[in-house]
Amino acid sequence: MSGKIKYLFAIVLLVISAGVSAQNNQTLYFMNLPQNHLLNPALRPSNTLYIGLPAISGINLNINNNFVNFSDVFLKRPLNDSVITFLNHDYNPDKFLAKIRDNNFFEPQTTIQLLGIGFAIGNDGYIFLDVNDRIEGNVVVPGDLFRLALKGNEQFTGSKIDLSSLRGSMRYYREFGIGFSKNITEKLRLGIRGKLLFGIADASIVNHSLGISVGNDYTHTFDANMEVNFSGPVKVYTDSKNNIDSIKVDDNKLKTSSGAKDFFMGKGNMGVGIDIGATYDLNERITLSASFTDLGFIRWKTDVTNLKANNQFVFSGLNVSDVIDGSKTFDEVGQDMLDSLKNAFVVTNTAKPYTTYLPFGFAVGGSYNVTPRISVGLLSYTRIIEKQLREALTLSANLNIGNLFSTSISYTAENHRYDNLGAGVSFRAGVAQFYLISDRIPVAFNRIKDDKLNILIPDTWNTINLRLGMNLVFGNRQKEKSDRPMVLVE
Amino acid sequence: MFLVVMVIMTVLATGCVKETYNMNKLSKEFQVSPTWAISAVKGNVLFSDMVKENDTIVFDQNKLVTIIIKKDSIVDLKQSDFSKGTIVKTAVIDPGTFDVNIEDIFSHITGDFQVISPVLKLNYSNSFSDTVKINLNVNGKRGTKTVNLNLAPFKLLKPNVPVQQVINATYIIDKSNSNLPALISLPPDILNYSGSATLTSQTKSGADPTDLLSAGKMTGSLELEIPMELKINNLVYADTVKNFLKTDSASKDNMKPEDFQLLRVNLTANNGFPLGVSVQMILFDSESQTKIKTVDAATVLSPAPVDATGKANGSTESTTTIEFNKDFFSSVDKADKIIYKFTLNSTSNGIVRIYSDYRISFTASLVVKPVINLN
Repeated sequence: MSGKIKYLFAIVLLVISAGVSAQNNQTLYFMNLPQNHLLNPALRPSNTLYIGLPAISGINLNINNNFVNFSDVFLKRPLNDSVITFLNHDYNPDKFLAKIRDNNFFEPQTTIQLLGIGFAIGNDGYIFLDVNDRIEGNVVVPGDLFRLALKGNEQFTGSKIDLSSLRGSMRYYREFGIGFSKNITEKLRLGIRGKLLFGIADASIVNHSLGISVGNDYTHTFDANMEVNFSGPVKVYTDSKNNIDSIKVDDNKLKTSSGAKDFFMGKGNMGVGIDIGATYDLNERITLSASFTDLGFIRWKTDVTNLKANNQFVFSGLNVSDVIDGSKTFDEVGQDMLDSLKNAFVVTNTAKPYTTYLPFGFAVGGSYNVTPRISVGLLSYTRIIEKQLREALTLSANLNIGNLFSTSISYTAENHRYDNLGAGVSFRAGVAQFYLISDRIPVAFNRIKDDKLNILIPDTWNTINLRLGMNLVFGNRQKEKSDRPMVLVE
Repeated sequence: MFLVVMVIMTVLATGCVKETYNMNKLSKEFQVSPTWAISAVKGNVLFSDMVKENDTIVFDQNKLVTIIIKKDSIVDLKQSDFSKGTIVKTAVIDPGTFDVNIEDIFSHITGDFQVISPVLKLNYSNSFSDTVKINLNVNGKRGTKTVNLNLAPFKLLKPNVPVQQVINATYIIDKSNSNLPALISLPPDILNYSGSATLTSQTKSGADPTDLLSAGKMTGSLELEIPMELKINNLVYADTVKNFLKTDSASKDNMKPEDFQLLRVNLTANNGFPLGVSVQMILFDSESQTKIKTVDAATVLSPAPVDATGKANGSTESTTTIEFNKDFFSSVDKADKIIYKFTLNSTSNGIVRIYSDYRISFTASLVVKPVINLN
């Protein structure tokens, strides 16, 4: 393995070595930042006006996986200084497979805020306008696929290699949001944010069933009922038998300015979404909150390709009866089998519009004001993404000094991991408010070095979560103090 | 601010370098060794699917399989071929050979093999009105072994002149009048034949001797019929081939036998033939004449049960596992030859008959555990 490939491999593994689920900037939730309305539209910052400038006001990056860390992939030999991978013959693959779950996901997400405006209206109202570019991916690899690759199929004799959880999606869309929040009562505040969505490109696998049953006589039954949908500059070429010949990116459209504009505007793939949130001041110290976010869909209509396969194929060995009776050669029998396999999984190629749903989130939280500036918070965040439920529970300690300074440290338990320590900090310098938040900061490192490299990487960092940016903020909302008397005098 | 300090303190307090990975010492060995199992081949075939009827193999009305080998014109005698001047005249049947064309197969065979009811037919056409007696000498040879037919001289049928000018008839040679079963069971690479024909004149005495011989002609051909009624006791077919598993040590591209930790063949057969088969595969070093490794498959096929006539009246299922382990594969390069030995036995080593409607069904699955190098 050449040096470049080696490091590329290491970097890829490092990136996928990040993996807690349901990351949604939980640390942000209790901070005094305009961006927290993205998690609950009832939340509002203390300033009266904020402006988010294109690209610099907010960049959010999440890359998660739930199965391996760097140290699961690279290991040191105990007796010397050499490094081996889990694919070394000295390493028992069972140890690696013990880390593998039934469903192993890899979930990259990026949100770039193109524009953000928020301003107070009236006594307690607040209006938000946002334009965000969102790129979201979700790949779920069944554990059986790892077991199949590393240990083979004999272990599945008499059972099924279940690949029905295999999923994959990657989509790029633009979100125009307008939100409003207001106190309905003295204690209850509601917020709502409607979103108009413009899909730019999508690729998604819809897996109804996929598996290989291995009989006791090693007969294999393959069944597949799945679809792969594309919307974007992709062309699928099929042969005369409708088998896929090649898939190519068709970038001709992007070569003209009008074509590129149409593509990146995503006008042909529209969708809607809604966020709804509420906060409730239980008393002077305790505030409860809840929200639904990303309840919505996109209807993909332009440049659509649907590939569908719905068939079953049983392979119980090459039937050599025809070879024995001399009517066919062994090669012909083998070719017949391959033809049968191809014909069994003929992929239909259509261009029907399809719908994808946003990863729906549900948050329930509560905060306790230890002092007017210091609070502790507890947040449960549940995310439903393509039939998978991902849950996170975050405990945070928060310091909010108006909109001058806000910081939070958090501890998140999620997806069977209990070592997620997060932190966030924001501060204002004049009208510029800077913030940097991560739900998970590494606490142990490994040093990677060679002749040219000497870097530290987190040991058990299976999440990359980062939100950073700069807002322009104006004004500072002072919470009105209660001037009601302790004793009501008639 | 104190929270930020707390975070930094926490990170510094708990954050540490656990390991240093020196990537200069990264092992370049990347491999997987999955165990793959797959049903490889299957078949369900009749004997008549495997062996078609032709000039040599026929199925009789009862579907009994019979091998027929013919030799035309072994006898072609005319009046002038016979000696003159006496009442008894003799002609010579020119010596010849009768190639059974199974030398390639039988040269690999050892063991007891007994054909029960072969028949040798002398098909002839005779127009001599006098009595013709044939003394046919046939022997079979295989290597240094020779078995004689031991057929007593016999008379040909003669035409009933003047009503009948020529008679076409067949003389049957079988176990009742010869040593034919032993000769065929040798089994012979080649049959040699020779002999003579004696013609006894019916002419009155005192006539011109040249007129004593009646005009006529006699031609004959041989036809060997071997009905597949057999008795087999540890008949071994052995063949030695070049060790095709041996790889060129200079080649680095292809997988080598030592890259396999295991190859297991699971064979299940439902055998309707009254023949059992076992197989041996031997890695052999011809230079030292030593057997390096032997893989035994004692019961690849178990013989079907038979009735009193030797006809199979059922089938027998057998399951065999043939395992080639790491030890075997690591020995492959020490051998230059591979010897295959197939041992056949008839049911209970008794007499069995082979019919064209016998059927065998089988499945063979493979379990293989290769070491796949990814680097």
